Amino acid sequence: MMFRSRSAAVPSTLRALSVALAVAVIPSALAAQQAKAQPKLTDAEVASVAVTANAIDVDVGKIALSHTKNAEVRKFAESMVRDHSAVITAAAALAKKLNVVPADNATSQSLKADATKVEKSLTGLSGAAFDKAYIDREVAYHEAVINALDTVLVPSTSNAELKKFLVDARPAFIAHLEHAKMVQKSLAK
Amino acid sequence: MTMSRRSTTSMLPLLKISVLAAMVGAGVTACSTKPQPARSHEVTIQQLAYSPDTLTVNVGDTVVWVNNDILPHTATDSAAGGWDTDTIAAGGAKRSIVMVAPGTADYICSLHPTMRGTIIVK
Repeated sequence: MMFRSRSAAVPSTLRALSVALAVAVIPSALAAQQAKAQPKLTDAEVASVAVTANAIDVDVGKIALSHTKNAEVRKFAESMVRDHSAVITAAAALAKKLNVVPADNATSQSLKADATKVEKSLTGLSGAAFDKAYIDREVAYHEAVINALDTVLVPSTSNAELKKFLVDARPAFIAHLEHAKMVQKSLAK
Repeated sequence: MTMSRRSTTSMLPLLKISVLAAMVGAGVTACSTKPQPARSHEVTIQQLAYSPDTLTVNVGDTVVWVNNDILPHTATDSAAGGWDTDTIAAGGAKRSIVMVAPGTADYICSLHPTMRGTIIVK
């Protein structure tokens, strides 16, 4: 509802803004998805993108747990692993209930390719350089996910329960983004 | 006969309880200035928010947090050494705290520090 009314009010401006923002800070897969005049994904493809996006942040969080010595960064990474795992479990249960089999697609594949590059660059860092790179990436990633949720995933979803699930998950991503910004601020001191 | 006697006997305590209840009831009415009995208040957690986010209770009351979210949460007093529910599991788990000291407590979820609530204890 929120998304519909927002896009109806200023569609072209917001769309242009979201694409510009996306291109500036987010994984190329999500940016590309948004830039391509927002082609509609099937529910199975939406489920795949949602699970993939969450799984990537679990994996990156695990890298952070094995690399960081900063208590705040560790606490944040623990939240990412725990929360995104919980979202995946809930999403998988809903997909099963709805008989939706997540379908791999260009966006999911591109997300995975981006993640591989990010993981490679992070694992080469340590100490303060790692902490900064990880948290900066988490701020950008969550901005991208929220953007993609609003402009691509929610509008694309046909099934009402799946759409509600995505809308209900949004506050978690907002809280993660705010938490990441808090840690980012503490690292800058 | 036996059944009848038993029946009569079992009626007596009931009668006594009824009379006692009536007396207690009258007593409560007569002593209405006594402090309110401790109450229980519920705060639900859903989509990373406490509802209500601000709650006023009396000293001795219990606050019960019910986590209806898909993620685990806590309710943790921001003051050093304050109360803490510890982790409340997702999917309907509950944890409670008895509020023993008057004052205003701002609290957070220690797992999601952007979640905030306030308990005012009078």
